[in-house]
Amino acid sequence: MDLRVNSSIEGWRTGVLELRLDPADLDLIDSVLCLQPELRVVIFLGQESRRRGLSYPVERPEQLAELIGDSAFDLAGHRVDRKTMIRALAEQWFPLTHEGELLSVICLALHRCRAEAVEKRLDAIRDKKPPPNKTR
Amino acid sequence: MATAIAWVQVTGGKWARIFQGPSIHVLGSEYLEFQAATSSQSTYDLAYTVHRYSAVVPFFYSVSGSRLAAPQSQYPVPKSSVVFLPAGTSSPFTEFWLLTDRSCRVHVLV
Repeated sequence: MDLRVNSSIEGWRTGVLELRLDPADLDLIDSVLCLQPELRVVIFLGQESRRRGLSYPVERPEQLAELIGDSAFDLAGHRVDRKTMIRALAEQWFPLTHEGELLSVICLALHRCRAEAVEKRLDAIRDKKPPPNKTR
Repeated sequence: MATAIAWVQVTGGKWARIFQGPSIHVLGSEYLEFQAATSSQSTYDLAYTVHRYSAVVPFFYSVSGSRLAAPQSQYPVPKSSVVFLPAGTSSPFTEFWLLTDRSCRVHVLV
């Protein structure tokens, strides 16, 4: 796996529209995040990682799982705990060299879980046998 | 509102995240187009590495090679400035990262 030499938070932000934000804009940002509720989950987990003192690089999903310890969160339909984190975070997305990459893999994992849940539901519908023909 | 191609400026030697979002396609291919970094430059060679991260399998792949950066005045760019990527399956969320040996501008079509 490439160690992403020369990867930086500036490179992660490439091409985004630059904004001048100050504390007075916080309520606006909070409102805009309601348009993409999944990003609120990303923020929550980003806050948790800062609060728990995550350091970089993060080499494996297990390191994030260890950081979360015995905590468990229900976040807008997503269950986040040690077990679900290890299952949802693909090893191919690692290592993470800065916080931007952490936010990326959280976003990837949330979409992965949603996609797999949808697939599972569709499989259940497909597997459901049609009711037998009624006979008189 | 109107939408034009959103070219992304990439600095040589530094990884840049050049696309993030859903990758829904029917043709089974995604591609990159390269142009020179500035309007005063003409065609030049560049080497590239692309990393694609996806929320569904395949979760990751990497492609490397070399291409020509076309002048900014030339669009559509010639085939020698295009990289076709194996898109695999559609994905609800993907990230494309690009590393080039020279600065250029690029955009991704998914």
